[in-house]
Amino acid sequence: MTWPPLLPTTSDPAEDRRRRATVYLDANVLTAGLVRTLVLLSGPIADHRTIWSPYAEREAARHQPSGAKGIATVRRQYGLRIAPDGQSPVPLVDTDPKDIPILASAAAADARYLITENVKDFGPLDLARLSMSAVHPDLFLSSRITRTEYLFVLGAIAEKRLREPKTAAGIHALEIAKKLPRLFTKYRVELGVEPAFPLPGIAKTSFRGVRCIVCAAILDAEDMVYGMDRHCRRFA
Amino acid sequence: MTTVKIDPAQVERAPLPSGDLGLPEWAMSALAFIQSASKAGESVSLVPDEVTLSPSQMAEEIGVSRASIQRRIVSGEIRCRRVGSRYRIPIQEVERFRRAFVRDLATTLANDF
Repeated sequence: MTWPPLLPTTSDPAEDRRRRATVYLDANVLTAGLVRTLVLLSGPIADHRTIWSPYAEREAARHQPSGAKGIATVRRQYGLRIAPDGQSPVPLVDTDPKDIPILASAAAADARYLITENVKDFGPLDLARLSMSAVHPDLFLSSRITRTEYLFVLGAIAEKRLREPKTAAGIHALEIAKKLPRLFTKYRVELGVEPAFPLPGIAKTSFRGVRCIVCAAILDAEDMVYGMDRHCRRFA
Repeated sequence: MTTVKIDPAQVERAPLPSGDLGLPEWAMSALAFIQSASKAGESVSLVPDEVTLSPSQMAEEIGVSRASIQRRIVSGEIRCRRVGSRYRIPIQEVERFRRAFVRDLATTLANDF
């Protein structure tokens, strides 16, 4: 499998923005499950870097299914990075109060994206003032992870699975289809599978904010509806 | 890899043909550089320079802490060379480790769902 060349810098500002994006993970993404697995496994090979803070880690631990490995254990075992809990540089006005520590830590870590299953809890005004976007994992993974990266991650999961499904196509048809309909649809033909269950609906609010999911450019009002600028939409 | 040295006399004996040579841009700019040096009476040496990253750069690339990269270097899990007192990791080794790291991480996460 070939990888895009790894270059410390590029001459293309849009490419630099994309490569250097820091992605903050909300507690609901850090709780054990399919989404956590896909987001963490794609991090090292994709062109963004994942991070979270002790507050998110503690919240994830509160909702952790019994028997599953907590995120703090995984982080320590693999030396994954953590950012300190932080303060927002601006007062936060329209974010759900329980999520303010998450958004503040994401801003303090200079994150461009906040990946969360509850996009609607993060206020559009706050996100605009922090030049960030809150993105649902289904939209983020289907827009940002390349075909090569996705197939590599699926292959790595299939290789280590102890229970069914144990093939990339099987995981795609059963697990991805159940939880991440956009991602399933994107690679449905490529993997030649039909969903094992009827596809769930796409999350009602998948995107809020001002950063293009693909190139991280600041979006104008029209492009915010899609979460991508015109150029990126043509290739999405 | 060895070093290639091009002297002005060689360029004078067999100058570049004029017109479009159908070569890629990087090759044309290298040839133009050699030709201009030779006109100034200078020789040009081509020395391969391996692309390497520091442990901090590698940590940033993989998304792990610098200390974790340092530990893996010391344990021999990551191959690198020393330049003075500093470690440099060849880009091929970064790519090999990146894939091995994801597979290793999958051992822990693949049965989470």
